[in-house]
Amino acid sequence: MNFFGTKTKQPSFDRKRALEACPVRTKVIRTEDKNDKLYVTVLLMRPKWQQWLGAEDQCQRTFGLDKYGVEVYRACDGDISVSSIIQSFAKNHKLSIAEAEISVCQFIQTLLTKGLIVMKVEKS
Amino acid sequence: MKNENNKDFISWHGFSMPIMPEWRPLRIEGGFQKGSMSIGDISSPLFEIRWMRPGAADFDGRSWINGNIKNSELKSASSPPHPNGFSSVGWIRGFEEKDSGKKTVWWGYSVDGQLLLEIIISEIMDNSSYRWIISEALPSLKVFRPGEEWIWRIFSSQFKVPAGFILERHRLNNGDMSLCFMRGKRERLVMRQVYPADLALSRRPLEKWFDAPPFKEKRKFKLESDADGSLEKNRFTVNGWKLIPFPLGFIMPRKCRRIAVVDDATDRIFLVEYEYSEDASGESADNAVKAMSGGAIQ
Repeated sequence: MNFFGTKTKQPSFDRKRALEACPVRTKVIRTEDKNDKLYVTVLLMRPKWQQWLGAEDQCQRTFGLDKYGVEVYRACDGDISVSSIIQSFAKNHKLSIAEAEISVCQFIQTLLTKGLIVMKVEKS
Repeated sequence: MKNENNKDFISWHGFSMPIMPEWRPLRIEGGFQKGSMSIGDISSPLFEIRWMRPGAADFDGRSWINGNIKNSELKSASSPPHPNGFSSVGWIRGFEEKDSGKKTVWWGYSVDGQLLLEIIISEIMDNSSYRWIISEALPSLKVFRPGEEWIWRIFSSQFKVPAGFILERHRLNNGDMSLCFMRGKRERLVMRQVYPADLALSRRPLEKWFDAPPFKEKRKFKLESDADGSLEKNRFTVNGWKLIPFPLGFIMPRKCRRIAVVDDATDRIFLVEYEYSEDASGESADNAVKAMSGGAIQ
């Protein structure tokens, strides 16, 4: 923790370990299938500065996933590693592994920042 | 696990080489005469391919390779991989430049392909990958002759281009690969693959994909007649002209055929735009679309 009380960034692990990690879906409030999309509603903690300004601690957020997004999101069950998801995505859509890796990793990053999944990483 | 059947190909500027599925081009530079491509995996670059077309008919590939070996102050290693179509080959191992680690450098010259290749392989990669490059990839190298049609393969896309077309520009985005070729000053062939097709078609209909060209150009497309082209099931064809904007449209007008096809087998849209002189036919556009059908990795 630094002078201002914020946590300093820990050294990140390498890409190989990141690909071996298994993404897990977070607890959802509800899901809804509408217009070929899956709408997932999750409960998120508001940032501290919003809480200080009087906002509620938690809020609901709904995200719409298209069929490719749903395919990756459903695979995030905590047992399947990112590299396995990449391989099955490449096979299903006749892509090269390199192309699938770019797409899937970027999407998983988005899911992480939106709070729809967390990563299960084995301790080294 | 390195499986022999489990490989992709990279085909660029007249050569073709197998690579492992998890490898990809990291950097592409240069053009037809001279250029380089760096290939690696998720963690680091593994090897670099450099190509050069000497141009002179009396170029002596053997003495060029020998000169390079001499300059490196290392002795030529024995039995270099000798792929078919290469008239002279040579290599050195354990070459070290500054602090970049040891490297193997392989040279090959193809008289038929009029192509000189230099492949620099890092020796600090894992041993199985290194051995695979030496024993599988290098001996399977292929060179296309200038007079034959060339295959271009990059990521999961494949393009077949008639003889004489030279790559002018390329744009390689994930899910949208475009190559622009020129033959002489009047023939221009733009080939594009967009995938997955259903996602692409949900964003804009098939006939509208030509409205967003991958490369900027001065010429504008003008329909040949008032007919809006033919839109059959999964195929859109339109003929017209490519003209310099008004009032200079009379300067070197080019005929133009545009074809867009949805290939259900590969879930891709194939787009071809062929510009040609008035006396030629637009058949190359149809052939280019047909050749792309085998594009996705099977």
